[in-house]
Parts: sequence; structure tokens; C-alpha cells
Amino acid sequence: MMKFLLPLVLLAPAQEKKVKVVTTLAVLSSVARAVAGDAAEVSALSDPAQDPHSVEPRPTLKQAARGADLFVEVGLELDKWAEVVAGESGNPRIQRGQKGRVVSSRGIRTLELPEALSKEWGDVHPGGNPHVWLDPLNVRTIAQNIFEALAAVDEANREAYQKRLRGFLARLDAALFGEDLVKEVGAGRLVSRAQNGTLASYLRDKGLEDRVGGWMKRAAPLRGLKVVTYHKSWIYFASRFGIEVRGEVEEKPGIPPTRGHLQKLAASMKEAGVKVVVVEVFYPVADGEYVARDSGARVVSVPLDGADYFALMDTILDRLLEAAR
Amino acid sequence: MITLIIVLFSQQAQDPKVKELEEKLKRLEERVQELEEKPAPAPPPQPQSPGLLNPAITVFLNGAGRIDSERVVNAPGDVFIDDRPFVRTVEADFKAAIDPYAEGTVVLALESEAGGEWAMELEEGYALIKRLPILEEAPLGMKLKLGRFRAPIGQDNLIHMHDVPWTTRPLPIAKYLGTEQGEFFECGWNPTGGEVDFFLPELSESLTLEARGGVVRAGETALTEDMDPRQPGFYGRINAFAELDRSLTANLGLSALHEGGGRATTLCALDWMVKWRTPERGTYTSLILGGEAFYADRERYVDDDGDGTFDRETLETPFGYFVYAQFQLDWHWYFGARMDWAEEPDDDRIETRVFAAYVTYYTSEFLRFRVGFEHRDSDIDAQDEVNSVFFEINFVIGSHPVEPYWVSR
Repeated sequence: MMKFLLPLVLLAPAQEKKVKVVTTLAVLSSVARAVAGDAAEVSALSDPAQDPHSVEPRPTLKQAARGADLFVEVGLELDKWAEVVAGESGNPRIQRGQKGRVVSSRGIRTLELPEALSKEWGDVHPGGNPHVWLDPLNVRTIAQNIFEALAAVDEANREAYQKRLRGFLARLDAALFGEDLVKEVGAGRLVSRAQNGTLASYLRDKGLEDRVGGWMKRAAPLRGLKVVTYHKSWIYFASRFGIEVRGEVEEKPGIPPTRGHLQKLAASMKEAGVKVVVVEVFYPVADGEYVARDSGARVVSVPLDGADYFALMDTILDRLLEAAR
Repeated sequence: MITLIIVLFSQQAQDPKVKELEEKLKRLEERVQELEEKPAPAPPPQPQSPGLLNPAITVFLNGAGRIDSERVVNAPGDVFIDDRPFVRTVEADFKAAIDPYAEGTVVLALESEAGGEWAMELEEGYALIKRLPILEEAPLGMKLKLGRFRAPIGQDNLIHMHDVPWTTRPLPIAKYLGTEQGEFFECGWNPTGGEVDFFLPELSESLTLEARGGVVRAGETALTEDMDPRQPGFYGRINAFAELDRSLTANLGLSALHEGGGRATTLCALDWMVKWRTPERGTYTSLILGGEAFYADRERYVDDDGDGTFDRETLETPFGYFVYAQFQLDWHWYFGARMDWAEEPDDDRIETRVFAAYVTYYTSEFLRFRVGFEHRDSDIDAQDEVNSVFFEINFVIGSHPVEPYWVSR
């Protein structure tokens, strides 16, 4: 029997070893999966329903990182626990400075860069606000960084990764601007103008406003909406879609609010006409409800992370539109 | 404006000057468009300064005051420590990569000795070697630690004073591993030597098995302080950690220490912890149940008549344990209780018990306060029927601390 099977075994294609990618946040795993495709095994360490700032570096996370070829983090001191996980994983490939360690926010122009640092202002991030993935344009950079790292550890599949990266970016552009507009104007021009803040005037001048689709079109009713958020997580999302963030439920980043702060915030919300209080799913809704009750605003619980980037953005928009109605 | 100019000029389109102006205008429009579509410039590089090569520095301060029902001595024959406040430790942690192969950690502690004197101590100082030029990747994710470090005999001994969930160290830690400083001041075992740490082969994604083994200088625990430091001490630990579901984890550890030479001492420890946190997001409720038990087998010589010569050899087998529970009510408040029971290392017929309750309040991850009550029963008269109330403050200056295990966020 064996003499018949042996040639078949020898002829069978060798099982290709997959690149193992471990990401801190689920949203990064979504991007990595899109760029890597079947060539990689991708997993995320944190639960999307958990505060990404404070994940306990459990032994199981270190074990998961032990066999990783790529370890992808946001950086900017958001997922600082990653340092402990990677450091204690015993995996030399993913230590800082190695090509298997990817700081996916590299090259992103961050917002809210502090001019000086003091813990008096709470949990400030020296490199700027780290919630960069909530602007789809920043996800382009994240995808590019992941692509470069994948290609560096798996040169043989570079072309395949490049092709998938292009596909992902095309899908992202269509999701953001709408397929029609991308076809009409070109993704490069749209992205550049969106980054420079000249997109709206360009579309107006060219009479293309009614060709806008995707998330930009869906978010149009949110333009100018005044909101208060629990944590300073939404600056990128708000900037992209024209939402006005008028304050935070937290007194200082990372510091739970006092009753006095909530009362002052409720008064200022009433005066400013704030309509919505956005609370990330892992923060206490009760504080949001307290300020909303006094000011007549609606509270909406919104995810910050998700295993599918497109679904995450859809959910955020759905919930905000519902609350703003 | 541009359109208006074009309209005015188009009326005199025949004029060559107008034509020239129109062309100039067209070129200007193209240039404006080109500038508007220019990609946003890349972010400026981070400022480079020699400071960037400095280690991450974190400073911790731990202070505690006490009110007692009886006079309390720090240790037999030592000074009184009842009814007064202390700044117990000021600790500076320095951490940085040494080179591409190793990471260095130095923890310097200024520690209050009970009488008010201060001593500078190297709490920890070690290199953690993750790979070598001759060994790019160690099997099983093995790491080598060389220097002075807190040893993994049980879980509590690994944690620094500012991170334990109580104001005092549990009795078995102070009596078997600690120094002469007693359980109110920083104690525990931080030997000098080498340790390897590795993962055992993976059984499942939700179960992790880790092993550690060390060879260290002997004679540095409370149980073995009369040992010859030229003799090596050996220890090992197996730790199993399981994620039972999204909100429930369990940890079980088994450790042992052996120091030989003329007389031998063996210490075994079993520790366990179950941690539950509510699966409901937006709330911070958690419950921790845990404990550690220690058993020693200790050969020692006894000088009965105090003439400086040993009269007989005895075998002491002291046993001690502590169990604890802690309930985290919300982001700020933690309520805990602990019970200790320990036999004396020099005479296992003498027992001491502690019953303790604590409330901890966090303002932020950088500052916390604690109030506690302890009742102590002991076969040692001076420690019997003592009630104490404690007040404690901990703060952190510097880089983000990793939260201690008893905090859920």
C-alpha cells in the first residue's frame, strides 16, 4: 500500500508555513488580515469590549505572543501593556527594534500633541492622541506599515501582500468617499484633499457634492453636531466627519469624573446645545446619563474597537445617527 | 472674484493683452489646484536628544501610620514602632534596553528602618537576557535573569511593598522569606544569582504553564540566614494560569527552595488565586480569592546555654499560610480581608495569627490611600492581643505603572 501512497505524498505540495501575526487591538487584526490574506494567521490579544488602555498582561497573552513573527501595536502609549507582553514572551523576533515589532501609527500626523507634559493633566500621551484608527485616512498609513512589516519578514509573498494592500485601500476609499466619487475624481486626489482640508470646497466648486457616497455621505447629518464624549477618544473621527466635541465626561484623561465636574459639564452642555453624549462601551454609562439628564442630551454607547474595521465604522455611524435623530 | 475677472475680460477677448492675462489666470488656477492636492507633509521627526537614551524612570513612595492598642516592637529586641507615622520606602525604578540582546532593571530603595534611620538598598538590579549573538532564539522562549531580584517563592514575594493590596506583608512572607524588618516594613526575599524562565509546551490557548529555576547565593532568607553564603541555593517554580471564561481566571503555583551544606533547609510553597471580573462593561466590579501556604523542613544547631557553642541539632518544620479576599466595588473602592497563621521558624510550637481588613481608595492609577485594621493573637506575649489601625499612602511619579494584579480596569 505504502509504495502506492509514497509518490502521492512526495508529489503533494509542501504545506507553506504561515506568518503568525499577533496584534494588540482587534481593529489592527482586521487590517492585518486584509493585507496578509491566507498567507498569515492573525489574532488579536485584547477583547474589543475592553478598554484598550488597560489590558492585564496575562500569561496567556504572553504565550500567544511567543510564536509571533509580527507583533503589531498602535503605539503612542495607548497599548503600553504590549511592552510587558512582548518583553516577557521570550520571543526575540518581536522585541523593540526588531523587524517583527510594528508600531502601526508610525508616520501618522497625530492630533492634540501636548506642548508640555504633566500628570496634572491626567493620562496625557506624549506623542499625541493615540486613537488614530478612527479616521479612515489614518488606516491607510496603518495598512501601509503592516504591509511593509509583512513584506520584510516574508519577502517571498511581497507581491501578493502589495496586491492585497491595494485592494484594501481601494475598498477603504470606496467605503469613505463612495465608489462613484472615487471613479469620477480619483482616490489620490480625494485623499490628498481630505488630508489638506480642501475636499469640501473642491467638491462644491466642481459641483460634485451630490456624488459623495460612503461614510462621508452617511455622516453628512452629523456635520456640526455638538457632542460630549466620555474619554478623549473621538478627536480623529470628529475631525474627519465634522462633529464638534464640546467636552469630556472625564475631568482629565484617565481620571474618573467628580460630581462637581459633572455638574459643571451638564451646565455648559445645556448652554452650548450639546445633543449627544458618546460613551465608549467599556466606560460607565451612568456618568454620561447624569450629564445628559440635566442637559437634555441623549447618551449613546459606542464601540472603539472591532474585529472588522468596516463593520466597526458602520456601527459607530449607525449609533451616532440614531442618537442625533 | 476669479470668475468676475474672467467675465469682464472675456468681453475684450480680442485684445492680446487680455488673452495673455487669461492664460496667466489659467496657470494660476492649475497651480492652486496642484498645491491643494499636494499630499500632507509627513510628520516632523521626533526631537532627538541624548535624553531619549535615558532609562524609563518611575518613583514610588509608600508611607504608613499606625495606632496600636499595645506597645509594638519591630522585631524582638528592636525598637518600638507603635502609634506613629513612617515613610516606609521611596523606590526608584530604572528600566532600559542594554543592547539588542538584554534589558536592564535597577530598583533602588530608600528604606526606613524602624528607628527612623534610612538605608539605601538595592532592591533589584538585573540584566534580562532574551537572546545572544550565538543563540538567536532560545528554546521555549527561555530568558535568563542575572543579578539581584525578587524570587518566585509564592506570588506575594514577587511584588514590591507599594503594590501589595495590604499595608503589612503576610506573616509567612516576613517570617520565612523576609528580613529582620518584620512585616510592617519592606521584607521578602531578593537573592543574588541567576534564573531561567520559560514556557512549557502549550496545551491550549487558555492554559499557560511556565517554569522558573534559579541558582542563588545561600543564606539570605529568614529561614536560612545562618547558612554559608558560599553554598548555592536552588529554587524552582511551576505556574499554571487558566482563563476559564471571559471574566474568570485562575492561577496555581508550586515553588520550592533548597539550601544545603552542613545543614539543609527546604521550603515549599503553594499559591492559588481565582479572579473574577464582571463581564458587564462600563463597571469595574471584581472579586479575588487567593492564598499561599508554606512548609519548611529546617535543620539547625541550637545553643541552649548561650555559651557560643552549639549543644544540639534540631529539626524544625514550621508551617504557615495566609488567605485573602478582595472585592472591587468600582473604579475607586476596594474592600479586602486577610487571615495569616504562621509557626515560628526557630520553634514550630509557637504560633501567631493575624486577622485583617482593609479599604483601599484610588484617586487615579498614580495615587491611592488605604485604611486597615489588624488583630493579632500570638503565643509570644508581646505580640498577643494587639489591635492596630493603619493608614497608608502610595504614589507614583513618572511613567505609566502597570497596574497590580488586584486592580481591574
